[in-house]
Amino acid sequence: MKDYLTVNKVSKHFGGLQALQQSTFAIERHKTTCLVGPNGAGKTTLFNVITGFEQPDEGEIRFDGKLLNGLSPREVIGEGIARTFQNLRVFEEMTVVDNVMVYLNDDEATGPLDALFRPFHTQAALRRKRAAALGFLREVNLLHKADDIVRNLSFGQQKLLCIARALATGAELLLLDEPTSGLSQSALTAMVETVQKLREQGRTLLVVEHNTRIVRRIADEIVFLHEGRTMAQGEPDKIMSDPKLAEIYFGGVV
Amino acid sequence: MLYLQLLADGLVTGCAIGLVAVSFSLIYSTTKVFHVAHAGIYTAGGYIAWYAASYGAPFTVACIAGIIGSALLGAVIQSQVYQRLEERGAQPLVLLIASLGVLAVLQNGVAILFTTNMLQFSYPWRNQMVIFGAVGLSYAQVTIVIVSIVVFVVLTWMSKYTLFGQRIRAVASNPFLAEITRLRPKTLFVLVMMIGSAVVGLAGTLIALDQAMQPYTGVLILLTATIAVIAGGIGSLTGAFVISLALSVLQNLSLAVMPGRWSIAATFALFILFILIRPQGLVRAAR
Amino acid sequence: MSFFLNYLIQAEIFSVMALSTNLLVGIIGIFSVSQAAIFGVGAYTVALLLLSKMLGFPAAIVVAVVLCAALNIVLALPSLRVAGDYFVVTSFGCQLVATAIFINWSQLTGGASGLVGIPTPAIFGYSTDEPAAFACVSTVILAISCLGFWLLMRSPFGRIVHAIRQDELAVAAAGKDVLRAKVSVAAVSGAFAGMAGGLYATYLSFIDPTSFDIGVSIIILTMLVVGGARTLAGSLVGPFLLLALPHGLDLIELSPTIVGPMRQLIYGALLIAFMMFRPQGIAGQRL
Repeated sequence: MKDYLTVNKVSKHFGGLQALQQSTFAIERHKTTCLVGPNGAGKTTLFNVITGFEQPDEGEIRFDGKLLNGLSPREVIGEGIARTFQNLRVFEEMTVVDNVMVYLNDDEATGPLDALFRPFHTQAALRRKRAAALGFLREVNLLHKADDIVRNLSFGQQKLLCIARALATGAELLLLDEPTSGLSQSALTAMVETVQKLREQGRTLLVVEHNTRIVRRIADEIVFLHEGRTMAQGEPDKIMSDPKLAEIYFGGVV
Repeated sequence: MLYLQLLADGLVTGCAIGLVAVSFSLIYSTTKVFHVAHAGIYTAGGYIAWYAASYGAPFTVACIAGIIGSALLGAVIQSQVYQRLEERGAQPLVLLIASLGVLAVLQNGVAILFTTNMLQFSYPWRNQMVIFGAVGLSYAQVTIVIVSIVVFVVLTWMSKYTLFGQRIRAVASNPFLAEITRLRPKTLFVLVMMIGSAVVGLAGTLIALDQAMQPYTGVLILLTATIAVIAGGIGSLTGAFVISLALSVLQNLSLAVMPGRWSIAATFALFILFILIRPQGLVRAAR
Repeated sequence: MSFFLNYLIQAEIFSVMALSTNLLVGIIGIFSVSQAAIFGVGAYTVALLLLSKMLGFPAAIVVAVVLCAALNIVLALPSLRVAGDYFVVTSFGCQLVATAIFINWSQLTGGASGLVGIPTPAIFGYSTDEPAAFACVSTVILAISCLGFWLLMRSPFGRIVHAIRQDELAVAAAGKDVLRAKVSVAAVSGAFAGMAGGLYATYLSFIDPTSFDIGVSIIILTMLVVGGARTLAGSLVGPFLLLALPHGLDLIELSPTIVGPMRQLIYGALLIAFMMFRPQGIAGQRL
């Protein structure tokens, strides 16, 4: 449906800086929408506002009709939206599978009392969670790294881990913040393959992406952001060949 | 009139606590380190001044000795401990623990050198009284009020109107930007620590002049001061000073209804109440 | 033999305290100087219950555990809801207020003179007057604490808590209740401290406020830092090593008034040294 996630006239300022100005767009379920625009256009701020890390100064954000304004990050996950971070925010000192387990949408035996007074039950739950986490690692082709410490993983592998974590939350809508930035060619291929797999599964994705070739490959729809304003929304071919937008983004046609 | 006297005494001590609060606020908002060793410098400053006085130095000279000693201690702590740890990317917790270690070293160093007995300045003019109607203040107390207010005004003026003060506030509001421009936070931090330590050492000397000194009382004073800093809004020197006065007055007035040894409990209870109701501060931070 | 047993018992009691502090400082990463205060609450609770003959030792320990856990929850909740450094102030406040209460609430705590004649535990009718018998009790309690710590750390809860220390925001982004986890850890930490306090009171048969002041908090923190944070081994190595220290000091000729502050100074220096040069302690992980 067309109004799965709606962002309606959302503004946000920090001190003197207006990060978002009346941003408005909507994304469709089961489709992949790419958020493009020059650096500093407000894309990460938009993510922060949608997922409850920041509150908008004005405007409304609705997910499947439900108002998201004022919800905490925890509550937003509860509504079914998960995100990755541009700076990863992985738990470096823990293993890959433990990282996913923390994100798992499974509240069984997660309390201290369970750990202390029902140790066998807790260990059984732990085994179950580990199996589930391994499943998500398999989806992103990281199964062979499951018990490695995250610090020892390559940057590309850490980024795949972020995807696995987002999947583990069981969220309906995934917000991916620059999943391909900083990746080597081989890691890039692996990441794009993973994203394509998610698309084939019919997942709804909102992806911040700079690489225009990748955008052409994965986007069903593009939202162009500039200086906090949504300049345009539409099909990739149309947007990418619009000379005005190309001017803003590159200073020329793509 | 008991209450007026208690009020006056509270204001006097509040002025000195205000200096502790203002100096702590300066250091904390600039370096972002919760410098608990500040209480140790408070103590050391007073003892250095007393030491000078015990050799016959007049109060002004003793004060200056205390100020210089404190400033040097602050410089050493910042450059040798905090800065080295920051350069290694240490977590704030590590700095806090190191600061606690410095506090323990300072307090106990003083205890070893000067024993744990109460010490007082022996200037004969200390206890001469000045009468203001129903209230009597000693020369020592008057000294505290005058010196504290002067220092407070100077610090506030420095923060708002001098280039140095602007640099401090710039670093405080954006340390990363400061690092990559030419604001040279490292030197700035040492200077801020020196100024903050000088002021708190002075505060320690002043309170010692009025009352007495012991090696371990600094922490209690710092607790009241930090509560004032937080309640006043971090970054607001005026807020910190004013709330210090208020808390000190409250502590003193509470003497009328409960034994003095409970006043810290009353202050702390106020703090807990405060963070439950309005944790962002009671006074808007100065821009 | 009795000398060794006494050392063992003390080391075991402080190992439980080190585990308690490890949970707060090592696992969650919260700075705490109030461990001695909660230790004291546990001690006084068990002492009073046993002296009044209201309950036997096992029941008294349970009461102490519940009380201390609840106390930690009450203190942690407001301060953890707001910014991180507020907990530093709360921790200092809690410690100083607790000491004030221990000293001043004489009807309950015996004031500065403390409580005497605390009976040794009678477990299922067996007396523990002999050090060897008491050592059995302390060893069992230490074993229970170690087991609890170990179970906690390898559980799903343990993973969440480890993650919180590394990146609290990312844990919130995972949909987990960070505040609840932190408060839970504070509660378990309190529970351990309650047990340790109860053991301490019955071991010494006499307690006074000086056993639970901020200096003791620093000692316990030093034990954790030296032994090493986050690991079970570290919480055992630290106390066993540092309790051997006073005996080392006895070998040097020191005047009795200096011994106390000297010990504290060494602990302070150890804190600084370890934070600067070996933050993982002897057997732990980097703070």
